[in-house]
Amino acid sequence: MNIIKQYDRPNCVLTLEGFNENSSASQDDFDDDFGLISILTSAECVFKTSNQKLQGHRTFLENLARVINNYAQELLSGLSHSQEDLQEYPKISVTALDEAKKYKITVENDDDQEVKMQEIELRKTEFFDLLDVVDQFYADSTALPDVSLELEVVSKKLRQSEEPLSQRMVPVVTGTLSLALAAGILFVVPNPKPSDLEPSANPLPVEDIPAETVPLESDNGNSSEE
Amino acid sequence: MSQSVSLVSESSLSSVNHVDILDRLANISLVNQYCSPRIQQNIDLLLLAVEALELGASEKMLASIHDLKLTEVISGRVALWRLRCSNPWRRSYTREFLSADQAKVLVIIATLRAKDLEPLIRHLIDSEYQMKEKNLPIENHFMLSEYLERFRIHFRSRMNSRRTKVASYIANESELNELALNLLQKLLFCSGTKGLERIWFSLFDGEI
Repeated sequence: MNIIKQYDRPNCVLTLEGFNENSSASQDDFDDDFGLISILTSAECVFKTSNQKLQGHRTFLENLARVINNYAQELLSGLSHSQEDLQEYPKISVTALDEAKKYKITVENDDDQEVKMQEIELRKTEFFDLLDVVDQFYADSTALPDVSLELEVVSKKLRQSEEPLSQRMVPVVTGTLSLALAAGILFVVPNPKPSDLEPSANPLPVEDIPAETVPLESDNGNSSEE
Repeated sequence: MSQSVSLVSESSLSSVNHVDILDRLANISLVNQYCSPRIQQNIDLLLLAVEALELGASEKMLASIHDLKLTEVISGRVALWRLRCSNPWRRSYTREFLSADQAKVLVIIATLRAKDLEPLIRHLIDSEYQMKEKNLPIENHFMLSEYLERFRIHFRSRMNSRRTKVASYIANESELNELALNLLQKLLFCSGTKGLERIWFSLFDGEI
């Protein structure tokens, strides 16, 4: 029995088609697994207002959900989330266009596929609706229950300074330049000449003449001898 | 045979117990179990954008706190004001740190208000796109201009102009408008099915 699920938003509708691999014809329709999709046969995302669509199979849906999830977190925090290389085709990427007025979603299919590349451009509200249908899909436990939303926090190491590198370099460059300028100016300034008042390098020898001593003339000595 | 199942997810926060609401948000390991000033600043700016979107927003925030029975965490108007003043950009910066529960409640309030205001937010974002497509100044759009003006007034009256970043925003009107529009986009994302979880995780990007 084919099951079709639709997740609806004003601009975007995600339609999943598949079946439950464990259901049998004899099973009661209202059992626990009612409406469960465990095998997905097709996924289609239609943008009603801009007449665009993306479609694919299970890998397409998983990759789209993961990429949209990461990009939305990037928009919220302003920090780059790891857009890890998707191993399996179709490879999906999101880029901002025209100063983030629009977002371009590119789906690169395998060489075997008829359509090699799918590209759509979404407005902000369309992108938000796409994110919301993806979140509705994640929240629905009856659609591919083995696929779940994994929100991650970007490490502190990957956080860049709020001030751009060019601005942070300004003090360093200014300091270096002023030091170089000061050094250049001081190089041009002539060395000071030695002053005339300074003592001569070869002083004249001074003769060391002993002073002549003269005995004192006194009458007192003779009178005492008497 | 084909069976069609249509799903419209509508997460109603008001119907669940307050402990469950707080538990919906993951406990992200923080240094000293308190939020960083940057997280506090981002939460307060989100609430500031909500206030610019609707008149009497602070009353509605308080009503939401009472409806969700979160008064154990935020007891009333003064407590809410004190918590919002943990934003380091504020004139009346209290130099306090938000606990995880206090931050959760503030984010829940912002998300609830964003859900109620979603049609208006969508309209403003679409209008911004149209004005830019036509190369017209966004101030020419009445509702956008009203939102931006209210945001600028709130920002100028409440933020400390002696802070370099605040002074730069106050001096440059277009930069302040960009901040307001960026917050509008964040509020739109908050209003989504998993908006609460998304905004909560995004606050901790680059913090751990």
